[in-house]
Amino acid sequence: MQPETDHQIAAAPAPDALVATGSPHRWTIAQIGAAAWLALCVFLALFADLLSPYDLTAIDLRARMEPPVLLGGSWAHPLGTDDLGRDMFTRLVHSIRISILVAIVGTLIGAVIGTALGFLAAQVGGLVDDLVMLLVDVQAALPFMIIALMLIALFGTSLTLFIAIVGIYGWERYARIARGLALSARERGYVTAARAYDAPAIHIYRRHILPNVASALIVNATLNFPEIILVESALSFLGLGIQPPMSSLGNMLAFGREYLLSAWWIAVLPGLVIVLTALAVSILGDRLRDRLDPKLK
Amino acid sequence: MITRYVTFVALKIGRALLTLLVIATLTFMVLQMAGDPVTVLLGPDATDEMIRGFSERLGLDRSIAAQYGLYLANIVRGEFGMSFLHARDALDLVMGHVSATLLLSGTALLLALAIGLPLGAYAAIRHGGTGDTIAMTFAVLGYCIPNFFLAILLMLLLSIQWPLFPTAGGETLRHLVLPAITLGTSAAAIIARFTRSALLEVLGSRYMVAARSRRIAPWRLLVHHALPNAAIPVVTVVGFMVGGMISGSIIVESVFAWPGIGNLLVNSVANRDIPVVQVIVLLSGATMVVTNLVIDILYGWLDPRIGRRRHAA
Repeated sequence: MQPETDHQIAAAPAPDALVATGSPHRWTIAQIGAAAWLALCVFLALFADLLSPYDLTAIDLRARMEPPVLLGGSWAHPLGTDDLGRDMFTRLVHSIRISILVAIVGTLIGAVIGTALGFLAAQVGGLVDDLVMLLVDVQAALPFMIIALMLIALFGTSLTLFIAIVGIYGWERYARIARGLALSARERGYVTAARAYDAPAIHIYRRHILPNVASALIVNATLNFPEIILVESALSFLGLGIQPPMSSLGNMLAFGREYLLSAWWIAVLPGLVIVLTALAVSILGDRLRDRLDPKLK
Repeated sequence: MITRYVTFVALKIGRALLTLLVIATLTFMVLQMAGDPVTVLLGPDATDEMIRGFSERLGLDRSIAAQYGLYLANIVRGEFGMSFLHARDALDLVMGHVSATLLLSGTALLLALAIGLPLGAYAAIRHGGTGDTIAMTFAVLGYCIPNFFLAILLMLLLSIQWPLFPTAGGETLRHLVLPAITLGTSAAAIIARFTRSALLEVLGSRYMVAARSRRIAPWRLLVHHALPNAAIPVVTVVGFMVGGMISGSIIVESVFAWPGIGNLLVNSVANRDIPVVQVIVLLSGATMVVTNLVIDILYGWLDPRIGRRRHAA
């Protein structure tokens, strides 16, 4: 009933309306918009320091809660200012950078751990296989949010630990996919051939099995990525993720809550960025899924 | 046949108990890693007397294996220690918050079913049409707008712009409206999506084509033939929502200060009130495991084929 659980089950494709109709190679307007938005975000994240007109923590108490330019503000602060007179555009750009960074590293950690465990279970079999699959079941039974909160309660809120926790998210799906695909790939001719030449297991997995199962794993990563952005912003929103003075989309939204009455844009702008980003990744993910893995459609 | 069903149920129960044991074990391991249990579990203000009684209860002077045994025994006995934030028994404290979470989640789920099912069915029947597009755009938006942002938008609109409902608290039923809408919307979006895809699959199947060729009335076709067969995936999703209700309501309860378990969890985490966190972790695992068990058993009963498959467990 909430991002973290429903995403585990909502791995269903987006409606046809937002995905390609007709030729899978033609880009729809929604897909072009999604790609443009993501490109903009990546651009902003890469050049955050060059693009931001002010310092991230520059306080200007004479310009507190100025509205965005179209709502009567000035061009000095195109997206307005927050409760301390800090420039909203600057803070948004830095938040996008942090959120994208956490999501990329988190996705990579989950993908590597999950895939490695899945391959290990497939290769060794027996007790190891049972153990990995039991952990997969347990992870599926215990909602991620609960695990994350427990770890934060015990170990505190450092950035490194937070990224590690976010990295755990979704590992069990990679493990399940990697194990299943490795088991069936092992029976294929090219793997049997490699084994006949006494190639070491690691070599077989790296050179032969991984490239052949990569597309399914990449598709899973595109599902995982927007969910990690949502998980990160949810935890930061609760005040348990990215801590000030660092700024993330979630904690900007949380601080903006206090000023809904007088300066609603402080909360609404980061919220819009989160929604657009999650939407864009899932639209493009659907396109990628159709291209890479028609079977999953 | 009956023995096979009993075996199936027994296997499922065994599996559920094993999952619970693993969850408890992992919790124990994480607690061990977190450092000195006296400071972790008793908090900074513990007196010498408290520390002595506590060490005895957890067997801190004994081996890890003995501590683990005592840990499990304490869970079975329902002894989780005291909340140092509230100075109350942790289990009692959590149980006092159960009804609020049930009320909120139940209302949200009913709302989600009332919106999601008809919407998904309508989209499937009008597949490819404008109605489908509109319904599914709603579904995608409901999925992409995080709870905490929707909560804020609703507050802006219905508490500040038009002051119809309060923004925080849990005293009256009016307090229930905004959190229930927030929680219900994303669930409705998911239910609509699953109903649509399940129904589309059924509508395209051979027996539906056969039934259609026999000129059975469209509504009868839908109600008697299509919906029952589309029910299983939808039941799975709804079961998942019921099982995940504690974690599902964390954010919404916290935003609206709704006095449920999710809100208690966030406050306990922020104040490092570990005994309470521990109870909620185990309770949430148990809720999920028990719900999954009930659904599995229900399946075995609804669809005899499921019990017979070798790898059903």
